[in-house]
Amino acid sequence: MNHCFFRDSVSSVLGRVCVRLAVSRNDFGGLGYRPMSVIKSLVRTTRFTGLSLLLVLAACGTTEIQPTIVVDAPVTEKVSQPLREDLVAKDLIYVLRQLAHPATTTVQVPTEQDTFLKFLLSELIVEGYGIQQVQADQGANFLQYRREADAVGNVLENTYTLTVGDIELQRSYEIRKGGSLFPVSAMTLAGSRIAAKIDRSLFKHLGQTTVAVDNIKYTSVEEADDSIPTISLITSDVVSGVTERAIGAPSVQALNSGKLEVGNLFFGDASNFASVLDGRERQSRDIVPFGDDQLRMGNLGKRMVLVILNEFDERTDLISVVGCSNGPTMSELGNEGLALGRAARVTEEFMSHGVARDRILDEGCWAPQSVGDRFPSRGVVVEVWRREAP
Amino acid sequence: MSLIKATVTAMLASTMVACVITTIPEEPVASAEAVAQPPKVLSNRDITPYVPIVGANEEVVAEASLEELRQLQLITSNLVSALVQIPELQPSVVTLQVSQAQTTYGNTLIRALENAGFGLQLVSADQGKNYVSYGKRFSETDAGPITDYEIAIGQLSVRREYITTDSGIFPSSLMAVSGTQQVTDIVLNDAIFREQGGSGDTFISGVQSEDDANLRPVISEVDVNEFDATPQAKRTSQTTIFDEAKKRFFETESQRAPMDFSAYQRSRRAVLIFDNNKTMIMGSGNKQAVRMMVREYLPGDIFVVTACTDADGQNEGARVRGIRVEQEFASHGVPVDAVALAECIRASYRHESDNSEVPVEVVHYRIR
Repeated sequence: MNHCFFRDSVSSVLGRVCVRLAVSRNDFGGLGYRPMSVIKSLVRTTRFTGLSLLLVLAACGTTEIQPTIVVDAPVTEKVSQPLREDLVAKDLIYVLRQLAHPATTTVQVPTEQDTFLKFLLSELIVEGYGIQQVQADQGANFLQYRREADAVGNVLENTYTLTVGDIELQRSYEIRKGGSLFPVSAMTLAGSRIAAKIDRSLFKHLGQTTVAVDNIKYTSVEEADDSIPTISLITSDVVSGVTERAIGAPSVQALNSGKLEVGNLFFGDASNFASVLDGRERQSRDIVPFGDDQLRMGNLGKRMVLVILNEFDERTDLISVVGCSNGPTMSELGNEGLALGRAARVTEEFMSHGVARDRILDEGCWAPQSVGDRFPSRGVVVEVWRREAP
Repeated sequence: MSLIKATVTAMLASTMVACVITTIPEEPVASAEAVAQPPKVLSNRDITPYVPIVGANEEVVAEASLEELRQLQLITSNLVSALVQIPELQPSVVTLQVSQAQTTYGNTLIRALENAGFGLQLVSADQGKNYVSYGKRFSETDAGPITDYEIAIGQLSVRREYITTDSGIFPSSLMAVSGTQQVTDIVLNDAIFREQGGSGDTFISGVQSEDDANLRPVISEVDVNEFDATPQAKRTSQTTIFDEAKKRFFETESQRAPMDFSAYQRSRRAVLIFDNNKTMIMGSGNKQAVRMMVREYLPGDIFVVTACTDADGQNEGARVRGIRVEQEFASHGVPVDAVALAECIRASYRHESDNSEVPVEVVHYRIR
């Protein structure tokens, strides 16, 4: 199965490059996968230097990389003893249980289970999670894992990625004699902002880990955007808006960062997500400023995101993001592109700190003229909405 | 002697006889050793199909005879297939709490619940609003020995008597269901008992409500003949029995209340793309789209899923795909009756061998 996707961190250096990967389903526990993690691993696995990566990608131009890149065979095949993956399972589930409470969470697992999946399952059951066996990828908390092999000189490493619904955990382990595994990287957590800690006692008998390894890094789950279908908006406003668009007025609707069609707030005050915000109370309202015709957030914007996150509680809060571009522009993106591009940029920044995509409601307001005090001319309005106490 | 005769006699006698009651013993606290370990080789036969993942007790299963295990599997298939047709107990959304199995019946029952697609949570006592309790009672009646099997989940329960003959085990009563209004919608697949074969015996099939004595059950008779005997390998699998029951449930649900869309307006629309016409795997992109659509769900809203666009108006694969999408919505907490499977819209022709990507349309309707 081929997937094509973009990655901004690469594109910032090289321009947008579409990378086509062909990866066996077996590398992903048999069901589905997250291509971005693959390329992260790929870059690490094959030990690309910056230059070689540049050369490979540049050679592909702006279309696609033709060579099929296959992730190395798992190291498990190269070592004689079976791996002590039970500890890895304990390590990952220890963190998971701090993010999704076992008493109220049912995890969907594939019916076909290999050894590592059985270890994970065992841990989940002991922790008290509900277990639902599924034949495909059913369920809000569908579990998948990926094991990737790596070799650094003589040292063999396995990187395990565990995905349960929105949450993704990843950590690398060195393979030692006797098949034991020892953590050599921090745990990467995406899709949640909940402060979690690692069980430091798990690997104590194998040696001392460093402080850098004994912590959790928050990041975002990166998805193959082209696999997410567009969710269109169908309202009478949108339909009647066709007339206005035909006479050169601002467009009435466009796609947000989640490929969800949203209406232009220039034409009204009601948020596209009014129903979602119903029953919630606004906690704060901030404006992240952007430069003229710019999509760059800059240090000020990034600092503001951190400040907002200090007060954000993912169990009760939603973040509303309204990107704005009102007034004349010289940008090729136009007002619409700037507004929704800015909203997407701020959304991405929140996600990079572990906020799940479905906790963010991004939309836009765009027009070639000012909208007065309703929205800024070039900035993003960020509001935190908290669920009212029952 | 005909089984149906035995059934009637047994029904009359059952209240008068002394019963040997097998009670559920105290449950031990779950331990890591007790769960999800690869099956041990405790006997020369493969006990895997009878051992659950959650709350297994392999020693008990290993000690049971293969015949007993097969019969218990048949009984649990019969009882659980009724459970999955009860709206309050939809496997895709309901998580049941179970204790560590202590008996062979307990093991096969938990395994059946797993195969039916329920979420299962191991608890140390009887925690949880969907705690599964079960029992098996042996009765000596004038019609011969009868065994009664029961499953209770919260307020819901299903119970049925079975009788053992030389050919196998057969129902000897109607299935008694309590705790739900939808008893009449439950359809039993009692034909699975035929596969054991028999010598012209007949047993009764049907469901009766224990809550409403005025509800008249639909009773039918099932004949079992020698020629019905089916080799073990060719008998209907437990998963197939449950899949058919779940399919029946979704069909009944969509026919129950034909929707009147005049009071609704369309709000959003997405077209999910499945990789081919065989797969049930939605993929992360489609799942993300469902998650986003569910986010905007309000009580009273409806999602209409159109999976079939075949010119001939019939496509089993498309229907199953549609149900798959319905289940995905249900797993996010959207009530089953808020997701409707649309009839085939007969828009295009697709050859059987065409294995290209297939669309499933989802439209979100909201009350005007």
